[in-house]
Amino acid sequence: MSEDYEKFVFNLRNRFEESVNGIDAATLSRVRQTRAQVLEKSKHKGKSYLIWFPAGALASVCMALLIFSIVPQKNVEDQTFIDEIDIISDLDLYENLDFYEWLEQHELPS
Amino acid sequence: MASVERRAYRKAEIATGNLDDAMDILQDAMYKLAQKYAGHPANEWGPLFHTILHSRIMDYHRRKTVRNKYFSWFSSDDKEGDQDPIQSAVDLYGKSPEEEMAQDASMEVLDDSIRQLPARQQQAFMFRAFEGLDVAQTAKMMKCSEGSVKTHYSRALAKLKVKLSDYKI
Repeated sequence: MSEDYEKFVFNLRNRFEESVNGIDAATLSRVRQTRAQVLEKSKHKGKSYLIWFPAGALASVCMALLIFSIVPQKNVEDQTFIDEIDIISDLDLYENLDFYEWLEQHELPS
Repeated sequence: MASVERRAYRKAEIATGNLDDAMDILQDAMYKLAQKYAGHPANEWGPLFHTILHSRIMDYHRRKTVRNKYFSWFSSDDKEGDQDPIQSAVDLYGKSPEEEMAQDASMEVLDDSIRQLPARQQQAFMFRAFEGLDVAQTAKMMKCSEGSVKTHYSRALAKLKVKLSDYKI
């Protein structure tokens, strides 16, 4: 490159440096704000996977509660069903109620 | 990022001629650096950032070319009819071309001249002249041969020299 071109490039670079140093405060503020926003955004994005751990744990707990709340309910239903059968089987008692009353009145030894 | 953001912004502004576009490019480049290259050694961040920035600037030029192509295609019929005669009239009381040429070269003139360069020449010029990179480094940044860098750079300098010949640069 000729000396003339070297001087030309040198001057252009100086002009550029002057313009970089002469960026107005408002624009500079926007640039800094942009950097801060980007860093903040990327920081959150980088750790976003961490929110899945508590979310997963919470989901597991909810699932467990749901299962345990259903399973005992089924047992209760079964128990109720058994009790109902017992009552039905005790219908004999109601049919012979007169006899039991008579038995109680006469206090016969068992 | 803080150490290079001013220069990066200025380069984006020169390339686009628009503050908002320059900010968008800067934001994209910063975001990509933070997302993809945060784990790299700190001394690599500067060159990486400039590479990303120039890649974004090239994308901008490509989009602009496509947009202009379609825009001119749709608006080709009403070019003559919609021309504002007041806007296109010669300004008899304003500065003459001679007077304008006689003015000291402002940064705006330099910006415009650089902006008018083809994208690759612009890129080579910014890397070589503004960042002071050598031919090999520029070729690596631009992902092309050293011969191409020399060609782009010399053409860019020749054009700028002609355009700025009337200014004190």
